[in-house]
Amino acid sequence: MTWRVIVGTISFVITMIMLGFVAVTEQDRMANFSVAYEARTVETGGALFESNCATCHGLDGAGVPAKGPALNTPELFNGARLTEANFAGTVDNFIRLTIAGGRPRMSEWARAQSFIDPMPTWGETYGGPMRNDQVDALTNYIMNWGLAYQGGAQPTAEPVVGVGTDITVELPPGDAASGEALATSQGCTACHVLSATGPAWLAASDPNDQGIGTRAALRLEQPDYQGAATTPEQYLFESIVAPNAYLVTDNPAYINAATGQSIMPATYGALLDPQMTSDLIAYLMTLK
Amino acid sequence: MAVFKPHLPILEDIKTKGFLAALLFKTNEAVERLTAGLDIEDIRGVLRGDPAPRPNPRVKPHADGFWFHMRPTYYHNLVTGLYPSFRLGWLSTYFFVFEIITGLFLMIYYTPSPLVAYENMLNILSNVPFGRLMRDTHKLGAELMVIVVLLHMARTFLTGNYKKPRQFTWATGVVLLFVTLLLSFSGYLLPWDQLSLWAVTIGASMVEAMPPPAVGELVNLVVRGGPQFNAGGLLRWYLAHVLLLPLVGIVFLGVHYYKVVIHGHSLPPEAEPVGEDTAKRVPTDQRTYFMPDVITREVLYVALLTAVVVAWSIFSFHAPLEPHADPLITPLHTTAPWYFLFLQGMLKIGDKVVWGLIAPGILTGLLIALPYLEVGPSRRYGDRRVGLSVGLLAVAVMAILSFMGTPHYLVSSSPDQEIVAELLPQTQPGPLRESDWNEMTAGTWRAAEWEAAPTATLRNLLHLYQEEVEHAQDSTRCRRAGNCLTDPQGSMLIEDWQDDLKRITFRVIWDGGPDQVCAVGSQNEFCQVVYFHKNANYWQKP
Ligand code: HEC
Ligand code: HEC
Ligand code: HEM
Repeated sequence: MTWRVIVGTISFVITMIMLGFVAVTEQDRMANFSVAYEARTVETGGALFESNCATCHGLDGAGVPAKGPALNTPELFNGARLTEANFAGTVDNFIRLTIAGGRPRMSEWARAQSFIDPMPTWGETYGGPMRNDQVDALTNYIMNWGLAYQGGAQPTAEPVVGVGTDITVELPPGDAASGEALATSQGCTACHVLSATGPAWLAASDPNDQGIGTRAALRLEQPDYQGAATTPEQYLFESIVAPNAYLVTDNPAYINAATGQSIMPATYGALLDPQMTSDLIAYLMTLK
Repeated sequence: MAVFKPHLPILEDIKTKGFLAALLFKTNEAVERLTAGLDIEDIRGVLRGDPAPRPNPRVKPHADGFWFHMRPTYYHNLVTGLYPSFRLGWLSTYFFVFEIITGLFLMIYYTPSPLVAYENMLNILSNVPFGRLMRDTHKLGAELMVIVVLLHMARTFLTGNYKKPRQFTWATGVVLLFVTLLLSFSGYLLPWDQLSLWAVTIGASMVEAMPPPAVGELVNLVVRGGPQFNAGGLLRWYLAHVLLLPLVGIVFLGVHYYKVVIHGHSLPPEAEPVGEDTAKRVPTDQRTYFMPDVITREVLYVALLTAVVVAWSIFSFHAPLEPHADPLITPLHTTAPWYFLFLQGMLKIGDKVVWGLIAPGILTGLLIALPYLEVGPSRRYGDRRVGLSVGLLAVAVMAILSFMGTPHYLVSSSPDQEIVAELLPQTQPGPLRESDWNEMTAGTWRAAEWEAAPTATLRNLLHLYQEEVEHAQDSTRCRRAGNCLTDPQGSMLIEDWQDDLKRITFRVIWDGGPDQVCAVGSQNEFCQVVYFHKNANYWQKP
């Protein structure tokens, strides 16, 4: 009987001591949880970015020509883009706002880079498919790129020296395998898989069963060809760096009705160095 | 001449006895009123274990007070120990009250809306002092309550207490069992994470099968609050969880307790003549009074159990919190809560209507009708061989059905996915996320060459990986399912992706695999990517 009272009392005191322990450590615990949770949202954001944004912004955030701008870049975090967009808030807000609302009408800055489609709307609140916590996770993931640029650190990648638009320059020997990788990373495959958005490269998707490697030779012999190329390789070179030298008109969607120019960006001469260009050409030549 | 004269007898007392004595006297009087019969000295006597004075003031609360009138004044000596009741009924009550208290605390910080419910959980964890403790103890208490109630039922079955005259006690008990299970289950949905959504979705899909289709559809709508679980459904389950079920529980608890007082606590089966119920006829020399003996035991159990539950919650048990509910993503291997696994197992046997509705319906009917099925007058174990065997058989069948409900039995997912799911489960953190981030060296690591990996963490992970790869190549399981992989190979690519963030790609190939690495739609290859942050701290749990 007495021992019951004693053991009961001791248990009660132990419970109180444990609660005291929680009370003392609770602030730290809550802080740790917040840090851990924030970190987990970055992970979630990475997965979401990979499945929803990488097609336009590149898996590594370096941007995809004609599709979407680079996000993994100092300009986004050092305020240059905010100034350009006349935005008074923080970078964090700028990113969150852009993701949630999208840019239904493309900005001047984006138009100048000839992106095809505007930035879509993602936030549920504005008719997109994503919940708020998903938009937050994406924001945290993109902001996490910014850490690398804090303290003035600059990206280590060397700037590309463009190949230019002169198709007679001598190119180094090309490697088809790396050309294939470039076709994806440079955004070519965004347009050239199905013939609806650009002439399809693979014979299987071409109405006449001709791969781009075969077509390159045939184009030169077409009566309406007005370009400067004399060999199939040069034709491909020209098509990449000067899309408007000769317009393929198989499909009206290839031509921007307002300007009469190709919808293919005319900027690749500046974006690709000679090696990259040669690799791409080598790859295209394999697609007979 | 005063206009009005205050009538304060205490002033008189102070005048005659002095201030301190008068105050003591009044306090004593108040205590006596509150306890309906015990003054301070009596209570001290109870706590010291003094023999009862004559006349015994300790029986007065049972006659005059509300709380004690629900408990017998005295017990038979034979039922005050652990055997035969194991105090499981009392512990069920304890957990019921415990859940109400912790639940009220959580209610303060919770809004039943899909827009904020999950955020509320995060807030409870990150911003509310004692928030995690309350959440953990509430969840742990819920699980323990299910266990304790089931054990209580098992013991009343084993000692034959449902027999005449306690059939109705048993019936109210069955209602309490359902209240307990539904309370626990409805709580599942409230955090609005993946676990809650999918566990409840599985449950609700069962009622949908109810024939005829019109009824099934209607019931489904009522249960889900719409074609999809969403705001309406969440609000319904919330109200059931915090209002309807506790209310039903409290009412039936009252009836249950009343029946127990009316019939008395049954004696151990062997202590009574066969067919007689002597619980209410306790000879004077066999009596143990509720106060002080039984009450100190009960309080002792409560104090001990509270200490255990609190310690367990602080140091080891943490209620899981999965990613936000997403109706579009079905995690691999969702299971019902453990006490409903047997249902999931039955659903795997066959038809939803037969196994999801009719069979559970019959089981419930049998449970309620038990007192009228096993009608032999004797409660002694030796005389109930058939009844006890059937009971044990039922437990065994339940265990087997529950096993069949787990993903180990008959799930037709592909072995390549299973390999990765072992390291990277979708419903809990798992081995990869609980490893040391700093030891995840960037590079391409092949599972088969795990011994050559540079860090202990990688060696562990890759070894586990390789074991799973070998299972996918040859194991009883894949042979039974007929989907063993030929020459499977696992590898893992770790990239330093951002500051403090790594990107990890699992790649399983078989039959030689494709040339391109992880291209969309390729054959004989399974790839899964996961991001892993330095501070994610999964081993700390939520
Ligand atoms: C269809 C291609 C496309 C997709 C898919 C896409 N974006 Fe964009 N994004 C763009 C374009 C184009 C712009 C430039 C818009 C403008 O300025 O008008 C842009 C701009 C942005 C910007 C602002 C950059 C700046 O400096 O102004 C952010 C941030 C961004 N996107 C994030 C995302 C995220 C996160 C996702 C995935 C949920 C995503 N984007 C998906 C095309 C896309
Ligand atoms: C915005 C969509 C788009 C992108 C991105 C794009 N192209 Fe094009 N491309 C076109 C269109 C439309 C044409 C047809 C009109 C024309 O002749 O310019 C074309 C034409 C071509 C042709 C000539 C095709 C033929 O059948 O004669 C080649 C070669 C070519 N592109 C290569 C590339 C390469 C290499 C890249 C990536 C570095 C690329 N393109 C990126 C849209 C695109
Ligand atoms: C919330 C759930 C429950 C609570 C709080 C509860 C509470 C109690 C209490 C306090 C007793 C007194 C004796 C003892 O401690 O064993 C009791 C007895 C009993 N209970 Fe329960 N009970 C619950 C569920 C059940 C269930 C699920 C059953 C069976 C289906 C059941 C059947 C019985 C029977 C038959 C007795 C009489 C035992 C006797 O006379 O010795 N109870 N219950």
